[in-house]
Amino acid sequence: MIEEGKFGVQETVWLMVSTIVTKVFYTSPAQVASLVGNVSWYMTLISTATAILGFTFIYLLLKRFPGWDIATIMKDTLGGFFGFVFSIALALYLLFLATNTLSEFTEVAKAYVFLLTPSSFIIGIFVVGILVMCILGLETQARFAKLAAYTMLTGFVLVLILGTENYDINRLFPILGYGADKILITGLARSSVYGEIVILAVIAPSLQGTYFVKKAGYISLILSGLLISLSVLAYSLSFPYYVAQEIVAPMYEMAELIDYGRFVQRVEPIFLFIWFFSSFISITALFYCFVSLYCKIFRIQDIRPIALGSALILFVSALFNMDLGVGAVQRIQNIRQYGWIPPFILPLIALIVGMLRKRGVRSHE
Amino acid sequence: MGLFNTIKKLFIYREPLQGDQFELLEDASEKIGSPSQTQQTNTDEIINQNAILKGATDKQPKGKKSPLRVEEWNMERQQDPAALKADTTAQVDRISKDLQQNRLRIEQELNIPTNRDAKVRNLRIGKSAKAFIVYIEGMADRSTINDFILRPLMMGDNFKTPQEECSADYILENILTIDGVTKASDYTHTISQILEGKTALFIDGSEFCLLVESRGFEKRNVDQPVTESVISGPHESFIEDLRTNLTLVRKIVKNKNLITEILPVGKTNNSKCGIMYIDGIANKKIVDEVKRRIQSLDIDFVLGDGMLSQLIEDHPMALFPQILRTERPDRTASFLMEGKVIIISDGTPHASIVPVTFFHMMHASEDSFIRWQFGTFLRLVRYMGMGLAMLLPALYIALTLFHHEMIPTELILAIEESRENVPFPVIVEILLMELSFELIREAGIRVPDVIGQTLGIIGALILGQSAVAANLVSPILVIIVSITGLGSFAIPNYDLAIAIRIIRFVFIALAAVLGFYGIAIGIFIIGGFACSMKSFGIPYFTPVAPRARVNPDIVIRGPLWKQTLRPDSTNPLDKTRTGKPVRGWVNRRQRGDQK
Amino acid sequence: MNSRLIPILMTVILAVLLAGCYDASEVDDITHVLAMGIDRGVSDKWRLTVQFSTIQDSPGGGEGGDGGGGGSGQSQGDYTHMTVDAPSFFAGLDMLNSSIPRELSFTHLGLIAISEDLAREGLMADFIAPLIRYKQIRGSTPLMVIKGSALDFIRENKPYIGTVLSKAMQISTRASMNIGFFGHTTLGDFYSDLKSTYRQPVVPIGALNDFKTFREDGPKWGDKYKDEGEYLAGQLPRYGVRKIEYWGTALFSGEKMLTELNGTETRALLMLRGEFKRGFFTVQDPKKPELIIPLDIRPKGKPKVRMSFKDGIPNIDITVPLKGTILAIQSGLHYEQDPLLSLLEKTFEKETKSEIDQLINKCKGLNLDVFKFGDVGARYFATIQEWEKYNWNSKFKDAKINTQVEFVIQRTGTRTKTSPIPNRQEE
Repeated sequence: MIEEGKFGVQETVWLMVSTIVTKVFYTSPAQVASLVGNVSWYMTLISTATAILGFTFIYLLLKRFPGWDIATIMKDTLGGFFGFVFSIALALYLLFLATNTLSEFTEVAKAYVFLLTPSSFIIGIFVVGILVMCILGLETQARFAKLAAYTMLTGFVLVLILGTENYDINRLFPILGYGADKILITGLARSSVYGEIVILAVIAPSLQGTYFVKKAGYISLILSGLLISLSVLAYSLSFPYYVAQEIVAPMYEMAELIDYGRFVQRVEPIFLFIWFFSSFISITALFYCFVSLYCKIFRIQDIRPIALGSALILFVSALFNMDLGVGAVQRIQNIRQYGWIPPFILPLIALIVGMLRKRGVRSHE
Repeated sequence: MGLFNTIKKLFIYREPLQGDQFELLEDASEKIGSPSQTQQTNTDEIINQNAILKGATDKQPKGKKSPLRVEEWNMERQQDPAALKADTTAQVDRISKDLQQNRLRIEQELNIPTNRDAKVRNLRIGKSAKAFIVYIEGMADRSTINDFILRPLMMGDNFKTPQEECSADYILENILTIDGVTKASDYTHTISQILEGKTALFIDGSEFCLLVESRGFEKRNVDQPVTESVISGPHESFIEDLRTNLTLVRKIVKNKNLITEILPVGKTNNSKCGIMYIDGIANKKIVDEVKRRIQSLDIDFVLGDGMLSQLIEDHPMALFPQILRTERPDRTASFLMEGKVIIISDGTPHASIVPVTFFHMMHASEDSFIRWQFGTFLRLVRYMGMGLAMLLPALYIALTLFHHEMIPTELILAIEESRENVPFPVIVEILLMELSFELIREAGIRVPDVIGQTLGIIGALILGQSAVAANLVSPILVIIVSITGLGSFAIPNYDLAIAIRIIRFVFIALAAVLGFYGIAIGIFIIGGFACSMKSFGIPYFTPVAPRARVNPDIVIRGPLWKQTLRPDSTNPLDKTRTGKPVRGWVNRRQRGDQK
Repeated sequence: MNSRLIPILMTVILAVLLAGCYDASEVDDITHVLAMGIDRGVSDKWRLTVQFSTIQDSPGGGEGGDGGGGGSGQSQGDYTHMTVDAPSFFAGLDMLNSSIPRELSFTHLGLIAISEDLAREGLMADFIAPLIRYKQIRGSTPLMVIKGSALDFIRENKPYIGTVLSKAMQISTRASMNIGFFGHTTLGDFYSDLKSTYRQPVVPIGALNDFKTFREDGPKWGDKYKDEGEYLAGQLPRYGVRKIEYWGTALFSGEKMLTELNGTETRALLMLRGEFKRGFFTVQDPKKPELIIPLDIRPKGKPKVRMSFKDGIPNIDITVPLKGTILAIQSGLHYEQDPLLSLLEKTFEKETKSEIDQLINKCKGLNLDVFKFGDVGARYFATIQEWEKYNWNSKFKDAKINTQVEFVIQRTGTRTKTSPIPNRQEE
């Protein structure tokens, strides 16, 4: 088996939270604003609730097979062929997420910070970082996430507090946005925002036990839900809904608006670092889990050669995504509408089949 | 060909060696309790654990081995040198009864008369029995030899019936008025002891010689610490002598369970190192790992801690130091109390401490001697200094090259103006200044003391001033470089400070290429490497990532009476260091005190 | 492992170092535009004026040897400006760059000045739209409508005190916080108001005072009372070096400037918008109308707005809470205590209410909701569709608005009572 090390609940939680919350810095908030208006801050709580429900199925599945990872479980419950198909689908989903997040990151970086730098350069450097971290292993990533979490959280809260100058409570009204039905549907579909929680199923063996998977999963979901809701709330307060949906990266522009006197202004650097770090952690975790899952499916003992090849795939596909032109981000968002299927439905099917076939660790004794 | 091989290696997959990296994990077998209980029960476990550890290390890495032919196999067996020598050397090594033969052997071993340092003196004990003493001039104290070895031996009054009483045992028990006298029956041991400064007494007809403690070489007095000076706290520092250093520690920790083990390192210079730990606090696994690593060394020359720690550290390729070196006995003692293992070796005025974390490197011994508010403040200043030393030039580069909008308007106009006549790009400017600063620093250490201090200050001042006047650099940059320099001086650990100084240049390069993004990716990768590091089984950022139960003593130094625990990460056998109410005189209900 | 890692790392590092630095630009390759003015052009649609520092240090001349001199580092030398007629902002930018020896950067833009005729023509949106999209221009840049030409305004835009223009501009645009005779509108504010379906933009006015209203000689004023806020921008009777003054507010209907508010109206506007921070007001002494009582007024909280809808017509109740300090009592009457105290409060309340009502009526006449009432109105609608369908901006002219001012005198300054001047002749 691949050596992935062991780590505790705190590290896992911060790894997961960083992975999930990153999206808030990109184009997602604006996209959601154009779907539901100024109410995304509580819409996302619906998504959180849905994701918690979805995670419950993942957890129940993992509980039947303590200490196993999702690939092995799929194979056991669904049989060789379907298990393989399901696991591969999940792995590809993770790679897809990593690619999309990476191209979204590049898109935003190019829009605001690096106007002239070619995408290949930004993505290339990023992929090198990912590769190094990947080879250093999951344990290292979790530790780095924990270490970075303190600074990131401080900066995040600072930006939110400094932004209060521009907040206007009236911008939260009309309270139902574009309509309750839209909120509900978008809220359910957007549970894909929390779809990254499925990587817990991949790294489950690294946690000390199923109880910790449960704990880490729920805490991460609730915490990320709160953080996303808070930041979306902050930008809903800063921009009226018709402006919010125009902006590429609302959180960045929100930080740009901060202006207290002649000195406390131009504070984007704080924000920029939070944004970079959470992106690094997020995409690395997604990519690593893809590689790890791939290795587990094909029972490959050494992760490094696979990581090298996959990094190349990541680089090329992210670049390809960028080269498609202006619509890239829009396409990503459209696909994200269906992004909840792989992380939540596949394990659910496995769980149901497993229950029907009465598979579980006990059946192996 | 080398290049070709390198390129080939780049593309060819090799299975990684299954490295047996030492990792300190909590076992089920590990029972944690008070030291008095663990003292007895531990021994069995230690044996068990030793066995397990040995078993683990003995495993050879799995690799394909082609089968041997019988002839080859035979040849391999015959050439096994250790097995062959074992019997014969035992014979040869034994001290013979014949004095003349002994003398010849000693002269041969010590290269007498070519080697003028080795002295042999013939004498007759009690005017009858033949004998000689061997010692190394300069290593042995002449007055000890004259007054306490030669004089009692050669005074006939001490021997009434010469024949019988000239035996070595009699001399050992009755004649020599010196505390450390041992018997030795083999040459290897004798020679090594002579080389350490002892005097060997060979007596005719005796199958062993007497090794008399006469070490009296020149050594420095205990002095003030040079790199770790403090304002409040003891002003004592280690010296180059192992024995003195061990004593300095034991002087502070007067505990019967403070164990000192002496291990040989360095085959040719026969140097030694001492391992100190407190039995019942330090985890046995760490002690065993330290011993395993030191014992496995096969090197001719080890001079002190600096060299030893390079040989036993976990990640020799990493920039960050993984072993803490200190020249302060008090600091060493405080680490002992935390369950750490101390390695003190002959030759340098330092003690190495393992395992340590990054946060230990940022602590100074002064922290504990001053009130906690002050200690916390000083630590925060230090962390700030480290941050500045590492990132300030890089941030300046990133801001002035990439992110103009983030500099306050007045400042950027001032920078613009100050750079007006400077012909270089910012990156050249900053490298120029940073390198000259490093030069001043290095030169300041190398030049004789008297000039050194002036060189540092005057050099920096004049150089900066003239560089600005000559329009080589902008004045703002001089400020940046000086603050960076100050920041790196604030780092209490010298090794870490050098690491940070080097990393600074990495960040400058990254910032010049990609601004903040470059800096961020630099922190990501370097931080990743640092996070993956272990110091004797303990992750480098331990109490924070991974989390461990710990005193309020990481970045903030909590009050002493709140520091009730020993660091959980090293799995000390005794987890608590205080009683329940630390300050018995305080009313229990008072705020802040433990229940 | 390492024998492989090192060449990989070296290749990567080398590649990175050789390939990087796309976005890098040295500080001294760039000149930072501090203020930008926009007029209607003659040779082309827009006349674009940019003001920047020439980085010429007049006293020192190059590098003075006195390294520690922070003062010499701070001085920004002289300022100059360039003007171009161009079909668009970006075209103008490139045209200017062809003659300016450095690259123009707008990251430190401190003021966007737009000429009044351009604003009245309704060309604002055309110009603002590309600016907000441009990465270099921040949403927090202040916006001003200039009476007369923006070019003349930029010409007069000098620090006067000290040598640093950016500081001077920031301080003077923020002076609104202390006086309330003009507001503070940023590019971002204007843009979001422009796009709004339920509020209208307002922009402070800047003007050049030619000092013609200041008459050195003539009949003396006497005892008549005139409110200091009744002046329009550029007409203050003052005399002194700096011609620029910020005063009053331009009201917009969408992208088109409709009218101008004087100082008093601006204060009322800011009070209703909840943006009023502080100002010295003058009240006629209720007992002795020829004398005045100056008051230091601050808001006591945000204005409270309640709304109800009757037959689709909004009914708005707004309460403006204010608090004040007595600055002087000319008459020497005991206004520090009741009953005179409440009389003074009532007088001020009445006066302010009438000013506010006048302003509201004026805006209702123009059908401009510049008071952010629409923001509150949104609370009474469940969804955005309903709200947009209601079309607040078209309904505002019919709204019934009841205003109320709550005023409390909290302090009496450094005196608790005033003794009358005994020798004063009663008229």
